Amino acid sequence: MDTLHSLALGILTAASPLNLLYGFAGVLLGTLIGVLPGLGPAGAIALLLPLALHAPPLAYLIMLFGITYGAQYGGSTTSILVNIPGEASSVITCLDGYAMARQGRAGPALGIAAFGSFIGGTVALVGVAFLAPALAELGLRFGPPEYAALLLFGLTALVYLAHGPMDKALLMALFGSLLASVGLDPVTGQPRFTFDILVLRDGVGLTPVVIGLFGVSEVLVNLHAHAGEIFQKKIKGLLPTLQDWKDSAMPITRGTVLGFLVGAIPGLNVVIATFAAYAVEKKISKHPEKFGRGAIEGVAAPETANNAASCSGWIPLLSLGLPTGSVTSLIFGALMIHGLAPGPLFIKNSPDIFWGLLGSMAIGNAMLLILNLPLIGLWIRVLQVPYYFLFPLIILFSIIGAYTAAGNTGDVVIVIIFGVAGYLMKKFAYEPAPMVLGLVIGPLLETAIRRSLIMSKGHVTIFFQRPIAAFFMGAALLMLLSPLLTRRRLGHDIIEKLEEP
Amino acid sequence: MKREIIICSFWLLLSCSLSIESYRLGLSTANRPGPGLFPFIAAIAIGLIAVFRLVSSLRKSSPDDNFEPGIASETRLVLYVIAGMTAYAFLLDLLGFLFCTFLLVAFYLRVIAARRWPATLSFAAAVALASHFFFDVLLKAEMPRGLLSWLI
Amino acid sequence: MKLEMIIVFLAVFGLSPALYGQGFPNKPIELVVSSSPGGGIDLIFRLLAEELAKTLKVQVNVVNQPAGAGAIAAEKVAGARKDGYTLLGSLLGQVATMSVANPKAPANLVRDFQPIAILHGYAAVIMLGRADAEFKNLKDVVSQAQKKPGDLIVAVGPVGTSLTLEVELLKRAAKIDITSLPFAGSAQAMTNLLGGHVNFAMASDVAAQPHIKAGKLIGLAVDVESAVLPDVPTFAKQGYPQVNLLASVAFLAPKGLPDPTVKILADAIGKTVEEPKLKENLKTRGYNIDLRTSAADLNKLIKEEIDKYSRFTPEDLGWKTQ
Repeated sequence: MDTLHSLALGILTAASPLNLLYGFAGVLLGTLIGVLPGLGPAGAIALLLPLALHAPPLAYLIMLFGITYGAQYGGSTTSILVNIPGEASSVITCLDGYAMARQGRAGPALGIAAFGSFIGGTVALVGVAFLAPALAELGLRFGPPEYAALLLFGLTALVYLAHGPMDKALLMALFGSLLASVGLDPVTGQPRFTFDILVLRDGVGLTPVVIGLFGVSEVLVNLHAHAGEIFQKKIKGLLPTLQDWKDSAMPITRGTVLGFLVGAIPGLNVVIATFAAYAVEKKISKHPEKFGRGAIEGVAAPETANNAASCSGWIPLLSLGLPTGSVTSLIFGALMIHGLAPGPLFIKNSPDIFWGLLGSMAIGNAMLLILNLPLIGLWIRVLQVPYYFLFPLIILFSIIGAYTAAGNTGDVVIVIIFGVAGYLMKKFAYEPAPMVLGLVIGPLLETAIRRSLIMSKGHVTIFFQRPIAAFFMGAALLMLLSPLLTRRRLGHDIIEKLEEP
Repeated sequence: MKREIIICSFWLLLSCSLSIESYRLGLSTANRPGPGLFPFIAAIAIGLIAVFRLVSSLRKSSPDDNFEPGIASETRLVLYVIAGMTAYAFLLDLLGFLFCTFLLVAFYLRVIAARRWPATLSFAAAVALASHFFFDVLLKAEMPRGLLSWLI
Repeated sequence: MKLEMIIVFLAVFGLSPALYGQGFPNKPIELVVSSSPGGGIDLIFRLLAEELAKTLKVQVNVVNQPAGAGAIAAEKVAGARKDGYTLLGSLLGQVATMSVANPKAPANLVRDFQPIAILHGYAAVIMLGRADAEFKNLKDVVSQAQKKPGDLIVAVGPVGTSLTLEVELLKRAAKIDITSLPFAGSAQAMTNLLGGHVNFAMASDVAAQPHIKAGKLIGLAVDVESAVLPDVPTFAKQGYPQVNLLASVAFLAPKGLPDPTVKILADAIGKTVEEPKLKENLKTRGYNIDLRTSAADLNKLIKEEIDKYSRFTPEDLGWKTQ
């Protein structure tokens, strides 16, 4: 009751004209940033830091927060329209979202993405209001062994992400994790696979790889005699149909819960929440073969999950004062500038700021929904530009996105290389999604395992002695063995394996 | 089938070279995994899967799985796009954002899309100016100035 | 005759600003900062740049160049025109590390750079323990470590940063064996400490302060007196003066910058740091402001920095050559 009261007060505070103005500026800027690949919330917030000295604290913070979750809304737009993820967390949306666009259903995809994002963000917000301290404490219990077990469990999601044969997906995932090891080894600091090229020391970034793999390769594949017809399929309506809503209801619900939980664990990339949501939907679905070909569930669940996760991702910072990534570190800095040291006593000492921020997120999510829906009509128009004029823009977009991510042309080279790689992969029927999974989870898993072994001095038992870790290890084993447990699937899988080329 | 052999050879080559490199990095020190251990395992796993695929494809001569053949003209277009992007990457610091963008768009429209000069040049100019305005002026994204720094 | 006069006229007036540094600065200055936007040292340089621009009456643009752990930024500035319009804003230790690990690299601290100003010991590194553990000070830590070699775990930062290296120095000085567990930074290290997965953590004082205030963590030692946590004794005071990798940020220019230009920049920076509002701001953020601008001071600090980092192998510094 108390919490609801505080939340209501917070919303009222956030609804003051000044705060509304800053909030609107924030979500608008955030959406823009989300749409542009490469330019991330971190960069924008950094550019706005000098403003911190001159702006009123709460309003300024509301703006910064607005940028972060606004970006989650915008990121799905380009994923759906042109297969370029605006944010890394929008990668999964490319799979079904773009397919829907190709079928003339970009409007419904964008609509469901917007609504899902709204619901995910708002419900997660309420979750944060009630559960922040408890979840924060739970998050602390995750040390390296727990992470390792959790990620191993997450990796079994790979089984359900792939369309085609398992071994090809495995090849992609392994390749992804090898790619991720290029650069400095996080544990020993030793350069791996850098061949004395200085820029490789920082590793191969996720953003340029994904832009090339999804965006550029799509252009390359489309450039043939019939390119003019790419998007000419009849536009089937601007808004989601009743059937779409019915299909998306449960995925949105599940995406919210899953996204909220995954986001609350400190240090897990929001991308992981989207992968998990997608995998769950595909596993539960009565028509899994539709996934990757325009299943609306494949858009609804991940889009909801990423907004929920980015909301609950604030928990470690707001409840404990521990930033978990570049964006949270920047907000940490912004709070410090105003003398509001985030820490375990933050909620107690600065309740007006805490609740004001939460309130602003409620308002901000609503603003974003209202902002994005009319834009759908605009985006559909963009798709109707003849492809011959559209594709140079897409390529330009990809290059700029890569360049602004790190400020040097090295990333552009990576986009080109993976553009070609993605093209070849499409020709040889390999899927990019498992590679991205390997790229994201591979290094996290490796680091977690190695740290755990340092802690235990080489004894593998550490993964089974600690309760949370043991739980996830068990779950992972269960996932791996479950196909064997269902006889029907067993026969099915073996036949598939024998038949595939 | 031939394609499968090509692609499996690629994987095997990758597997070999990376496992050697990983081994060089050190598989273990004291009682903890070294930097090379995980890449080594991954590389070996890739090799094993590649062998498995190779063997099973050699044993049955079935038609290719959804491999879409590439026609010569398609490859040419792909090369053009890539060439354009590569040139852009290398000329960016020299010529700057504005001019590179103009050249890239013009090149694509002319060579790949085979539009006539008036449409090509005007569209390219429009895009270049709009991007410049958007990224340099509005967002202050610090794109390279190149030739612009000589003019302004 | 007239033409020659015009040429001479132009030559004299064209060259003299370059010769005498007159009119500097008359166009924007580029400050290349070797960290990503908002990361690490970016904030302090942005704050300083904003004020510096007012003092110098030209724009001071912060350009982020985080690639290659500062190597790319350093190389860029080392090779830039020696006219004072391109400067490097970096952690002195970072550039020293590069130079020690590979003296022949394109950007050597001593050979290729002209120091303009150094903020000595601008932030402190603190060794933390849990408030509910049995270690109340460094002495407890050392004696426990001696009893159980290798058992205690300390969460440190990435390889080659002072967060990690200072633990090495402590281990050498006190002849103890504790296991260093690398993490990505202060926040991760503290998270693991709070969760009980490690026994100690190395972090920045500013990040640690809220947790100490809340009573969850205690400060065991700092490497330089901390503005935000003045009660925590330094390593030196507790008997380990060898643990002294004080973090300093530096404004560096390409070597060979004309003296008048150096003086203009140094004076401007000095004035900037004294500006009351900025000073207050920096203090709230927990920075120690100990600005050195005299040539003798700067050269001494640089030599000391090189010596400090020379105690490590390239592998320790994270620059092991393949």
